[in-house]
Order: sequence, then structure tokens, then C-alpha cells
Amino acid sequence: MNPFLERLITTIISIGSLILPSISGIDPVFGHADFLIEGNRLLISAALDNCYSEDFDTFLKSGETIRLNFTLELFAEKQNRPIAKQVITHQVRYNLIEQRFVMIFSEYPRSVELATLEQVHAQLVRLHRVEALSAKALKSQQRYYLVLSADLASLALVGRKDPFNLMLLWNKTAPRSRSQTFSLDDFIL
Amino acid sequence: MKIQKRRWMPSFRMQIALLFLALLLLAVLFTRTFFLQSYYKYLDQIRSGPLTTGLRQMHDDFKPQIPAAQRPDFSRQAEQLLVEVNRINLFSDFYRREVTAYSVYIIVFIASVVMIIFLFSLYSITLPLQRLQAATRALSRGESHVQLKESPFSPLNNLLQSFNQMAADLADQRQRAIEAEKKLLWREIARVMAHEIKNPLTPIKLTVERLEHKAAHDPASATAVLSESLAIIHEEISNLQALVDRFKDFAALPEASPIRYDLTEQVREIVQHYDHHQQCTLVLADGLPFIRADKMQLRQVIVNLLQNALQAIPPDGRVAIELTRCDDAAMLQITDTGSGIDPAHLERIFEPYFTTKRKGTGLGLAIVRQIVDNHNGRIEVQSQLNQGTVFRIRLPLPADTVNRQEELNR
Repeated sequence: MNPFLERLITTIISIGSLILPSISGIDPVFGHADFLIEGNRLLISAALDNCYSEDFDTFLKSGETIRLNFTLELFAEKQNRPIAKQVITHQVRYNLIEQRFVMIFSEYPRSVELATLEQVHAQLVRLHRVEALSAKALKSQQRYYLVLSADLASLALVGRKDPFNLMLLWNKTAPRSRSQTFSLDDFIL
Repeated sequence: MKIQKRRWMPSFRMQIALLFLALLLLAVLFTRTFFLQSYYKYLDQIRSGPLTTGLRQMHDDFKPQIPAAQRPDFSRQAEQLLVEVNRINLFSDFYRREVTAYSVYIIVFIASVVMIIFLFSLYSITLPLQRLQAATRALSRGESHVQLKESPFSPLNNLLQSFNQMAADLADQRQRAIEAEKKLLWREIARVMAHEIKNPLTPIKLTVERLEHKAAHDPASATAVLSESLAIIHEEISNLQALVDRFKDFAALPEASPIRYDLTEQVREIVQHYDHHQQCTLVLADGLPFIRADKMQLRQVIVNLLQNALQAIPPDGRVAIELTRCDDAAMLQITDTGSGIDPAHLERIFEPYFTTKRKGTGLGLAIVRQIVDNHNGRIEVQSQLNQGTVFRIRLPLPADTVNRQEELNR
């Protein structure tokens, strides 16, 4: 194809995708995101709401490995750069022969097998008292805040030049939650 | 009061544009539907729903026959196959959606480009037509130098050139017509002037010849006729002077100097002054507000019309002068029972130098009309032969008119 024509069509598709995307996505949010400091551990509990759609379920049942990354960043107050960062990954793959879901959580050493899609829905987007960061680095006088976000890793499909961006299912927007500011002293009883 | 709503109608340009857009969308949607349907059918055929079930069934059937040690490998290979099949399904499904969406983008883009080109073309036709329409109106209003901007890129350039040529020819012809009219007018003026000057000159010439004859043949009686001859000459010179003054008045009618004054009183005073033989009937409406006009010029108007009426009636004839209020105007009506005006002459009586009188310049009524026009008024005449003539003058009252009593108190 003529390079100019190819470039023109690419531009049209890019602009068109902004106005009318080929996949209608949804906008997930963190239903809750709580954290707790226990001794030297910073524990986090969170869950995403409104994150599943028919298209998402199709991918979940396709046999491909779907990865969901939770990223937790610790910021000192009035600073833009995180002073600590931790990524927690949940992945799920449907065994098409056994017809069961196999889930792997980066925070647990063992994989988990689930029988139904509903169970996957509940487990995939949930963090429960996960040790995210070490509290050793926190200074007692300094105030901090946490930012938790979630994103889906891209998926390589046969026949496609570029990997399929699973974030299209979420309108290319990663859900995000920012905590109140806190200091280490707030947790000393 | 019944208020009638105006129905909105799109302009011609918009109607054509909408029609074109509708046809374009129809054609594109038809083509898109036709091709996509074929494509979707193909995709549906390669989707392999039954293949997944079949592969799973085959795995379950053959697994017991495989040695236990090789079963995990067998299951892994079978699952890998199923994953590949599912990938094809996923691929075809999302590819189908992308094709649908992309075709919409392309269609919208092409439709927009085509629409812009179409509107530009339409505009290049309708804009010159609108200018042509405006120029035609300007021509009909009497504007002489109307020219349209020509453009070699316009599809209507030949038409614009023809119009410009026509407008130029028309302006030329109009100019020639004005020149011809001027010449005609000057000839007419010269004829009237010659005629008017000749009238007093003839008695002067005859009187002088008579004096010469007396002086040559009867010097004794010459002295006796000298006084009489000089009186005749003097009178005719006065006539000539009056003639010159009237022409001068018409040529340079002074600018009106309007003042607020009582027209009723002016009419009463003029009628009293000119009605020597008690032939006038005066009807003055009560409470007519003051008007705003040039008092001297309006006096000239009333005197002129009154004199004409008095001259037109027989000794037992009557002239009725009526001054009334008609809406926001004062109406002066002068009716005589004279011989009337020939219908053939009625249309021309306000033209300069037109007269039916033996001794007249034809400027009196022309001056009357000019004064009335200068006051934003209107003059009209009705006449019937052997029955009489009515002149009506309508003069607008000032916008801040108050009642007569308040005016008098001022």
C-alpha cells in the first residue's frame, strides 16, 4: 500500500478509536482499599468493583493466561516520586481439558484451582491482608500516603502483529486509589 | 391580533446538501453492509465451536488407552490444541469488531471529505447566483454602475461576464437617455422663454413703432401719445421683470426654514386678503394643532392655489377652503366650481413649464409641488370638466404634537 495512504488510514483509525472504540469497555473502581501496619509489615486489603464484562469472561475462558497487576506505591507527603513500590500479580488460566481455573497469586507460594467462573471473579480482583511493603523504612515524624492501582497485562494472540491490549476492556484506564496521609505514629497504640 | 408563525424552510443550498448527504450515506451503508455481511459469514464459517467440543471428547475417549506415564503429556498437547483453537475464535471475533469499527471511521472520513468537496462546489455555484440576484436588484433600483467580480475558476464566469456587459450597456443607454432628456428639457425651456419674452416685446415694439410714426408724420400729436406709450412700455417691462423673477424662484427655491406656527390663522388671513368678491367659503376645524413648516413657502402654496381657483370660477362661482385634521396630518382642501381641467392635462399640471393659460409660465403648480414635497407632504388633484377642481394638500403634523390650547399657551 502507498505509505501515504497507509499513514492516512492509520491516522483515521487512531482518531476514530478515540471517538468510537471497537470494544466497549467498562470502568472498574476500588470498592475499598485499606491498609494496616502490624509490627514491621504494611498489610493491604482491597477489591475491585465493576471490573468484569462479557468480553472479559471470554478471555478468562479462552485458555490464555490473564495477568492482573496490583501496583502499590508509597509516597512521602508533598513528593511526587514514590519512595517504595511493590507489584502484586494475580494470574489465571483456564484448563480447557480439565475445565478448571488455575490461579497463581504472587503473594502466596501455591497455585489454587477453582471450578467456577464466579470463584475466579471473587479471587482475581481481591487482596486480603497482603504484605505489601516493609514498614521499617518509615520515619516516625514523616507523613505518607499510598497509591494502589491495577492493570491487565497485554496478551499476545496468533495472527496479530501487536499484542492485544487487555486494558481495552477497562477503557484503557487503570483504576486507582489514594489513601489518606498517615504517619507511623498513627498506628502506635 | 392573530400572530402567524413563519415556517422554517431550509435554504436551497441546505436542501441540496442534505439530499446529497442522505444519498451518500445510503450508498455507503449499502456497500458496507453488503461487503461486511459476506465477510462475517466467512468468519463465522472459520469459527470452530464444534472443534473444541470434538477435541475434548477425543481426548477423553483416548486418554484411558494411553499408558499412564504418557497421559500428562497427552493432556498437555490436547490442551495446547484447544488453546490454539480458542485463539482463532478470539482473533476472528475481535477482528470482526475492529473491521466494523474501522469501516465506520473510513466511511465517516470519506463522507466528510466528499461533503466538503460537494459543499465547496455548491458554494461556488450558489454564491455567484446570490451576487447576481443582489446585482439585479441594484439595477432595478436604478443603480447604474453595477459590476460583479469575475473569477476564471467560477463555473458561472461566462454568466457573470455577460451580466457585467449587460449592466455596462444599460448604464450607457441610461446615460444617453438622461442626456437626451436634458436636451429636450432645455429646448422646452428655450421655447417657453422665447414665447414668454415675445409676448411683452410685441406691444413694446408696436408702441415704439407708433411713436416713431407719430414723430415722423404728426410731431404735434406725438407728445400726446408719448405718456400713454411710455406707460405701456413700462407695464410690459414690469411683466418681463415678473417673468424673470418667477423663473429665478423656481430655479433657486430657497431651503425651507421650518418653524412651529398656527396654520389655521395663516389660512384665515390669506383668504380674507384675497377674497375681494366674497366668493370664498372658509371651513376651519376646531383645535387643529400647530404645524412645523416654512411659513413663507406655505403662504406661497396657499396663495397660488387660491388665486388659481378664483381665476377659474365664473363671477357667480364659489371657492371652498377647508382645513381639517386627518390622522397625523393637516389636510387643506381647496374646491372651486370652475371649468375644471381637461383629463388629458391633469397628469401634467405639476410639470414645470406646462400651462394652459394664455399668460402663464407653467411654474406655479410645479413650485407648489416642490414645496409640498420638501415638507414631506402630499398633493393631489381631482377635476371634472365644467364642474370644478379639488386640490388636497396633506402636511404631516410634528411628532411631538400637543393640543392647540397647549400650543397657544406656549
